[in-house]
Amino acid sequence: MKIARLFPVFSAAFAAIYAPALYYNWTPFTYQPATMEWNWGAVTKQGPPMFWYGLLVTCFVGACAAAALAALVPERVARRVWPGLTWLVPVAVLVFIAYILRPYYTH
Amino acid sequence: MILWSVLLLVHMLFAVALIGAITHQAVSVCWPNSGRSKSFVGAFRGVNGMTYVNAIIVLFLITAVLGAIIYPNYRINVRPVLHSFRFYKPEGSFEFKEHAVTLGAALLPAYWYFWRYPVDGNRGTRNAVTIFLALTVWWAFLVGHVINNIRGFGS
Repeated sequence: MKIARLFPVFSAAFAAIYAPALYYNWTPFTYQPATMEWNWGAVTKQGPPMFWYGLLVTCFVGACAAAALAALVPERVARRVWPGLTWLVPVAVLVFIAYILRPYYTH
Repeated sequence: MILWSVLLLVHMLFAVALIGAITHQAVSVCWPNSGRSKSFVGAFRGVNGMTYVNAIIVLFLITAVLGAIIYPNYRINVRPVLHSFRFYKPEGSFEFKEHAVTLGAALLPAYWYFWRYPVDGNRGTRNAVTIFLALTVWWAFLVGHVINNIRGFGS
Protein backbone atom coordinates (compact mmCIF):
# COMPACT_ATOMS: atom_id res chain seq x y z
CA MET A 1 0.00 0.00 0.00
CA LYS A 2 1.29 3.44 -0.88
CA ILE A 3 1.44 5.71 2.14
CA ALA A 4 0.76 8.64 -0.22
CA ARG A 5 -2.91 7.60 -0.54
CA LEU A 6 -3.31 8.65 3.10
CA PHE A 7 -2.22 12.23 2.38
CA PRO A 8 -5.73 13.44 1.42
CA VAL A 9 -7.06 11.85 4.62
CA PHE A 10 -4.43 13.72 6.63
CA SER A 11 -5.35 17.05 5.00
CA ALA A 12 -9.11 16.64 5.45
CA ALA A 13 -8.71 15.37 9.04
CA PHE A 14 -6.41 18.27 9.94
CA ALA A 15 -9.05 20.75 8.78
CA ALA A 16 -11.87 18.84 10.49
CA ILE A 17 -9.99 18.86 13.81
CA TYR A 18 -8.90 22.49 13.43
CA ALA A 19 -12.43 23.89 13.79
CA PRO A 20 -13.25 22.40 17.24
CA ALA A 21 -9.62 22.78 18.38
CA LEU A 22 -9.83 26.50 17.66
CA TYR A 23 -13.31 26.93 19.09
CA TYR A 24 -12.65 25.03 22.33
CA ASN A 25 -8.95 25.97 22.48
CA TRP A 26 -7.52 22.43 22.59
CA THR A 27 -3.95 23.57 22.93
CA PRO A 28 -1.38 21.43 24.77
CA PHE A 29 0.82 24.46 25.46
CA THR A 30 0.88 28.25 25.29
CA TYR A 31 3.60 30.64 24.20
CA GLN A 32 3.85 33.95 26.02
CA PRO A 33 5.57 36.26 23.51
CA ALA A 34 5.96 39.14 25.98
CA THR A 35 8.06 37.04 28.37
CA MET A 36 9.17 34.38 25.83
CA GLU A 37 7.85 31.61 28.10
CA TRP A 38 6.24 28.30 27.20
CA ASN A 39 3.55 26.91 29.50
CA TRP A 40 1.68 23.63 29.50
CA GLY A 41 -2.04 23.98 28.75
CA ALA A 42 -3.99 27.12 27.92
CA VAL A 43 -2.44 29.77 30.15
CA THR A 44 -2.98 33.53 30.07
CA LYS A 45 -0.27 35.55 31.80
CA GLN A 46 1.19 38.98 31.22
CA GLY A 47 0.68 40.11 27.64
CA PRO A 48 -1.18 38.33 24.85
CA PRO A 49 -0.95 34.52 24.97
CA MET A 50 -0.39 32.54 21.76
CA PHE A 51 -2.30 29.29 21.50
CA TRP A 52 -1.80 28.85 17.76
CA TYR A 53 1.45 26.84 17.94
CA GLY A 54 -0.21 24.40 20.32
CA LEU A 55 -3.26 24.12 18.09
CA LEU A 56 -1.00 23.13 15.19
CA VAL A 57 0.45 20.30 17.28
CA THR A 58 -3.02 19.11 18.35
CA CYS A 59 -4.26 19.05 14.77
CA PHE A 60 -1.08 17.45 13.41
CA VAL A 61 -1.21 14.62 15.94
CA GLY A 62 -4.96 14.16 15.39
CA ALA A 63 -4.58 14.13 11.61
CA CYS A 64 -1.73 11.59 11.83
CA ALA A 65 -3.96 9.38 14.01
CA ALA A 66 -6.83 9.69 11.53
CA ALA A 67 -4.51 8.80 8.64
CA ALA A 68 -3.22 5.79 10.59
CA LEU A 69 -6.80 4.62 11.14
CA ALA A 70 -7.57 5.16 7.45
CA ALA A 71 -4.65 2.87 6.61
CA LEU A 72 -6.67 0.03 8.14
CA VAL A 73 -9.53 0.60 5.70
CA PRO A 74 -9.35 -1.70 2.63
CA GLU A 75 -8.44 0.13 -0.55
CA ARG A 76 -11.63 -0.92 -2.39
CA VAL A 77 -13.70 0.69 0.40
CA ALA A 78 -11.49 3.79 0.51
CA ARG A 79 -12.01 4.31 -3.23
CA ARG A 80 -15.72 4.83 -2.64
CA VAL A 81 -15.06 7.93 -0.52
CA TRP A 82 -15.49 11.10 -2.54
CA PRO A 83 -12.03 12.74 -2.95
CA GLY A 84 -13.68 16.17 -3.06
CA LEU A 85 -13.90 16.05 0.75
CA THR A 86 -10.23 17.03 0.66
CA TRP A 87 -11.12 20.58 -0.40
CA LEU A 88 -14.73 20.71 0.82
CA VAL A 89 -13.80 20.19 4.50
CA PRO A 90 -11.25 23.07 4.58
CA VAL A 91 -13.74 25.33 2.76
CA ALA A 92 -16.45 24.48 5.32
CA VAL A 93 -14.00 25.10 8.16
CA LEU A 94 -13.08 28.49 6.69
CA VAL A 95 -16.77 29.41 6.52
CA PHE A 96 -17.10 28.43 10.19
CA ILE A 97 -14.00 30.49 11.10
CA ALA A 98 -15.38 33.49 9.19
CA TYR A 99 -18.56 33.08 11.24
CA ILE A 100 -16.74 33.09 14.59
CA LEU A 101 -14.61 36.06 13.47
CA ARG A 102 -17.66 38.10 12.44
CA PRO A 103 -17.44 40.50 15.44
CA TYR A 104 -14.35 42.01 13.80
CA TYR A 105 -16.51 43.04 10.85
CA THR A 106 -19.66 44.04 12.74
CA HIS A 107 -17.94 46.28 15.28
CA MET B 1 14.07 45.59 15.36
CA ILE B 2 16.27 45.38 12.25
CA LEU B 3 16.18 41.57 12.43
CA TRP B 4 12.35 41.56 12.41
CA SER B 5 12.24 44.00 9.49
CA VAL B 6 14.69 41.86 7.50
CA LEU B 7 12.69 38.71 8.28
CA LEU B 8 9.49 40.48 7.22
CA LEU B 9 11.13 41.53 3.97
CA VAL B 10 12.39 38.00 3.24
CA HIS B 11 8.91 36.65 4.13
CA MET B 12 7.43 39.07 1.59
CA LEU B 13 9.94 38.14 -1.12
CA PHE B 14 9.12 34.44 -0.77
CA ALA B 15 5.42 35.36 -0.82
CA VAL B 16 5.92 37.22 -4.11
CA ALA B 17 7.59 34.17 -5.66
CA LEU B 18 4.83 31.93 -4.30
CA ILE B 19 1.99 34.11 -5.57
CA GLY B 20 3.54 34.12 -9.04
CA ALA B 21 3.93 30.35 -9.15
CA ILE B 22 0.52 29.46 -7.71
CA THR B 23 -1.26 31.99 -9.93
CA HIS B 24 0.40 30.50 -13.02
CA GLN B 25 -0.67 27.02 -11.99
CA ALA B 26 -4.21 28.02 -10.97
CA VAL B 27 -4.79 29.82 -14.26
CA SER B 28 -3.43 26.84 -16.19
CA VAL B 29 -5.97 24.51 -14.52
CA CYS B 30 -8.93 26.94 -14.75
CA TRP B 31 -8.29 28.09 -18.28
CA PRO B 32 -5.96 25.56 -19.92
CA ASN B 33 -4.21 26.22 -23.18
CA SER B 34 -2.56 23.15 -24.63
CA GLY B 35 -1.30 24.70 -27.86
CA ARG B 36 1.66 27.02 -28.33
CA SER B 37 0.62 30.63 -28.12
CA LYS B 38 2.38 33.80 -29.17
CA SER B 39 0.26 35.98 -26.90
CA PHE B 40 1.29 36.78 -23.33
CA VAL B 41 -2.05 35.58 -21.93
CA GLY B 42 -1.91 32.36 -23.95
CA ALA B 43 1.63 31.64 -22.77
CA PHE B 44 0.59 32.44 -19.18
CA ARG B 45 -2.24 29.89 -19.44
CA GLY B 46 -0.16 27.30 -21.25
CA VAL B 47 2.30 26.35 -18.53
CA ASN B 48 2.70 22.75 -17.40
CA GLY B 49 1.19 22.80 -13.91
CA MET B 50 3.07 19.67 -12.83
CA THR B 51 6.43 21.44 -13.01
CA TYR B 52 5.28 23.97 -10.39
CA VAL B 53 4.19 21.53 -7.69
CA ASN B 54 7.41 21.00 -5.73
CA ALA B 55 8.42 24.66 -6.01
CA ILE B 56 5.02 25.76 -4.71
CA ILE B 57 5.22 23.36 -1.75
CA VAL B 58 8.73 24.54 -0.82
CA LEU B 59 7.83 28.23 -1.24
CA PHE B 60 4.61 27.81 0.74
CA LEU B 61 6.41 26.10 3.62
CA ILE B 62 9.28 28.60 3.74
CA THR B 63 6.86 31.54 3.63
CA ALA B 64 4.63 30.01 6.31
CA VAL B 65 7.56 29.17 8.61
CA LEU B 66 8.95 32.70 8.26
CA GLY B 67 5.47 34.03 9.05
CA ALA B 68 5.27 31.80 12.13
CA ILE B 69 8.65 33.15 13.31
CA ILE B 70 7.52 36.76 12.86
CA TYR B 71 4.08 36.11 14.36
CA PRO B 72 4.96 36.74 18.08
CA ASN B 73 6.31 40.16 17.11
CA TYR B 74 2.99 40.91 15.42
CA ARG B 75 1.11 39.88 18.55
CA ILE B 76 3.17 42.16 20.78
CA ASN B 77 3.83 45.19 18.60
CA VAL B 78 1.23 45.33 15.82
CA ARG B 79 -2.02 43.79 17.02
CA PRO B 80 -2.39 46.05 20.10
CA VAL B 81 -1.91 49.07 17.83
CA LEU B 82 -4.62 47.84 15.46
CA HIS B 83 -6.87 47.31 18.46
CA SER B 84 -6.21 50.71 20.02
CA PHE B 85 -6.91 52.47 16.71
CA ARG B 86 -10.06 50.33 16.29
CA PHE B 87 -8.77 48.81 13.05
CA TYR B 88 -10.98 45.80 13.62
CA LYS B 89 -11.39 44.78 10.00
CA PRO B 90 -7.63 44.53 9.27
CA GLU B 91 -7.17 42.72 12.58
CA GLY B 92 -9.95 40.25 11.78
CA SER B 93 -8.62 39.79 8.28
CA PHE B 94 -5.22 38.91 9.69
CA GLU B 95 -6.82 36.39 12.07
CA PHE B 96 -8.57 34.84 9.08
CA LYS B 97 -5.29 34.81 7.15
CA GLU B 98 -3.60 32.91 9.98
CA HIS B 99 -6.24 30.17 9.85
CA ALA B 100 -6.48 30.07 6.05
CA VAL B 101 -2.71 29.65 5.71
CA THR B 102 -2.75 26.89 8.35
CA LEU B 103 -5.42 24.99 6.43
CA GLY B 104 -3.53 25.65 3.18
CA ALA B 105 -0.32 24.23 4.65
CA ALA B 106 -2.23 21.17 5.87
CA LEU B 107 -3.58 20.73 2.36
CA LEU B 108 -0.10 20.49 0.81
CA PRO B 109 0.26 16.69 1.21
CA ALA B 110 -3.07 16.17 -0.60
CA TYR B 111 -2.09 18.76 -3.21
CA TRP B 112 1.14 16.86 -3.87
CA TYR B 113 -0.72 13.54 -4.04
CA PHE B 114 -3.34 14.71 -6.55
CA TRP B 115 -0.68 16.20 -8.85
CA ARG B 116 1.73 13.27 -8.44
CA TYR B 117 -0.92 10.62 -9.14
CA PRO B 118 -3.32 12.25 -11.62
CA VAL B 119 -6.31 10.13 -12.61
CA ASP B 120 -9.43 11.27 -14.45
CA GLY B 121 -11.63 10.84 -11.39
CA ASN B 122 -9.43 13.16 -9.34
CA ARG B 123 -8.95 15.95 -11.84
CA GLY B 124 -11.74 18.09 -10.39
CA THR B 125 -10.39 17.63 -6.87
CA ARG B 126 -6.87 18.46 -8.00
CA ASN B 127 -8.10 21.67 -9.62
CA ALA B 128 -10.21 22.62 -6.59
CA VAL B 129 -7.29 22.06 -4.21
CA THR B 130 -5.05 24.18 -6.45
CA ILE B 131 -7.63 26.98 -6.59
CA PHE B 132 -8.10 26.80 -2.81
CA LEU B 133 -4.35 27.22 -2.32
CA ALA B 134 -4.22 30.08 -4.82
CA LEU B 135 -7.05 31.95 -3.09
CA THR B 136 -5.41 31.36 0.29
CA VAL B 137 -2.09 32.74 -0.94
CA TRP B 138 -3.76 35.77 -2.53
CA TRP B 139 -5.73 36.52 0.65
CA ALA B 140 -2.62 36.15 2.81
CA PHE B 141 -0.58 38.33 0.49
CA LEU B 142 -3.11 41.16 0.31
CA VAL B 143 -3.86 41.18 4.04
CA GLY B 144 -0.15 41.03 4.85
CA HIS B 145 0.41 43.96 2.51
CA VAL B 146 -2.33 46.03 4.20
CA ILE B 147 -1.03 45.23 7.70
CA ASN B 148 2.49 46.13 6.57
CA ASN B 149 1.16 49.46 5.31
CA ILE B 150 -0.52 50.14 8.66
CA ARG B 151 2.41 49.16 10.85
CA GLY B 152 5.10 47.12 9.20
CA PHE B 153 8.53 47.62 7.73
CA GLY B 154 10.49 50.35 9.51
CA SER B 155 7.72 51.31 11.96
